[in-house]
Amino acid sequence: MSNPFQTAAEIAHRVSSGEASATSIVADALAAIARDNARINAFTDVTADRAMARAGAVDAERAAGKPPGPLAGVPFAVKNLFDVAQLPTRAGSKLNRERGAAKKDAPLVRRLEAAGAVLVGALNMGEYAYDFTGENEHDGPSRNPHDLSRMTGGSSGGSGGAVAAGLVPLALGSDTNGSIRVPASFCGLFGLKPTYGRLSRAGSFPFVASFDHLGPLARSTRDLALAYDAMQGADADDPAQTPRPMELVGGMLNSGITGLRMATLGGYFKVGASADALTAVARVAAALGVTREIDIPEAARARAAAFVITGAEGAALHLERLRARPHDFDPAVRDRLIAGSMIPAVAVIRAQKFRRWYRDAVLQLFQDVDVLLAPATPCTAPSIGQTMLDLDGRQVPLRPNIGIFTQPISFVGLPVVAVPVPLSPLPIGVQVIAAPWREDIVLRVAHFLEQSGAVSAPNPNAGV
Amino acid sequence: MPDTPALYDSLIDTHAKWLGLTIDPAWRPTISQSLHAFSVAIQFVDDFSLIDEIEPAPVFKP
Repeated sequence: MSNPFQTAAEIAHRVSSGEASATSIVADALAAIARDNARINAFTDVTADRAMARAGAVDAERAAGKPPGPLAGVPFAVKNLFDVAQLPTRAGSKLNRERGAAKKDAPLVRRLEAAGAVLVGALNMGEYAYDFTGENEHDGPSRNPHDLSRMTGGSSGGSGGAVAAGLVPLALGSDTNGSIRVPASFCGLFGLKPTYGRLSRAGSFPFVASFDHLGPLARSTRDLALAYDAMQGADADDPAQTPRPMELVGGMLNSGITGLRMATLGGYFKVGASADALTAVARVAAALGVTREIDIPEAARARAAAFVITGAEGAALHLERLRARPHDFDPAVRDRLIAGSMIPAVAVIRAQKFRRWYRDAVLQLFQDVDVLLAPATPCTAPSIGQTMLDLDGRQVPLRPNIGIFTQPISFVGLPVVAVPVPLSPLPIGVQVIAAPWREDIVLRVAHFLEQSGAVSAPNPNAGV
Repeated sequence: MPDTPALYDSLIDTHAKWLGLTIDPAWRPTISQSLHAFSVAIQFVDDFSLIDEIEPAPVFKP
């Protein structure tokens, strides 16, 4: 049995060099899933036959002298809103699993497999991605491998749980308002939310077209970069995708941080932060030598506007299902969608106008700074079932407030790496943020932090 | 914006009828809570003064 916490880069190196076969690596991953998934509830579908066939093909290609891909033999899994051929794309819902199986894989799945990776299954998530907790009425909650009584965070909860538990070194998630960065924070992982429009969203079940992003979660920055580079490329099937050419980042990770202008975000990004969140940001800032603090203007209003647009676009997407099958929704999702259907159109358009203003203000900020640091979540992982959160001395509803620090960033599509600070007993994430299209910068800074020892993905020492 | 439970009851009744939604009475309290949260956010965004000429963020490219 191989080390369950080896990185994707380590696996690819072992498979490429012939030290290990893709077949043995994937068989180990499938055995670990069979052994541990009942406890963490990360996987909703395991594609064992497909995975073993694909692993065999990777080994056969290598034996035939074909150059192995950069992710040769790396087991990975995807949030179950990604199309996987022959599986229904359930998107965490009861209703979607009645829609029949997807006819083909999502483009990002195809691209990872073209790089040698091997899909082993689909992952639990909050219903229709309208979630920050990782809880799910139909499939049960994802459980945090660091403490099984705690949330993984969501909505990419299974993605966080599967990687943190060492079942796979790499998983894909989606992030509309924070759904990669929140589980990365609660589960102690690296998560990349690329710039809006960078990676194709085709073949994934949508939520809020204005804000939907896809990206990877992993145990190292290098694994994020390997996956990100493999997934780049034009796709006419996503009308929001950028026409910019690919900008590969893998070769830039060791470029260091010299010359980068960095600052911590103050004001809004400190007010609701717990002591753990502030400690984590301070630790990262110290490792980077950052002493400067700046404010993003109107960040609270940006979060409010994101909240309004999310409610309205989500309701528009699901209106027919709300009419026909309202009892088949997760109640926590349904009632917010119904309320969202009642948001006046003028409010949505004003929120989108404000978004333009805010975008311009944020881009202006980047004239004077290259990197911004902020907490990923206001607290470490809450208990499963918890409904209220202490925020700046006030008891507030937990669900909408987990994303207070992620929403103002994804609202304008900035690239972010959530880096894990291994506090005890639970880890927590810090957002490393840059200007649009500067994934190279956020990954460089995250890699520097990882090399310095300030951030790392801790192995769970309890439960799993 | 006015923000009262009576307003939300009225909104739920009117919109449900208009949009063809069936609302179970048991769902009304949580729908009202969500409407209140949206109302606070809408008002907050509304309080920010914008010039007439500013484009909404999504721009359709034919």
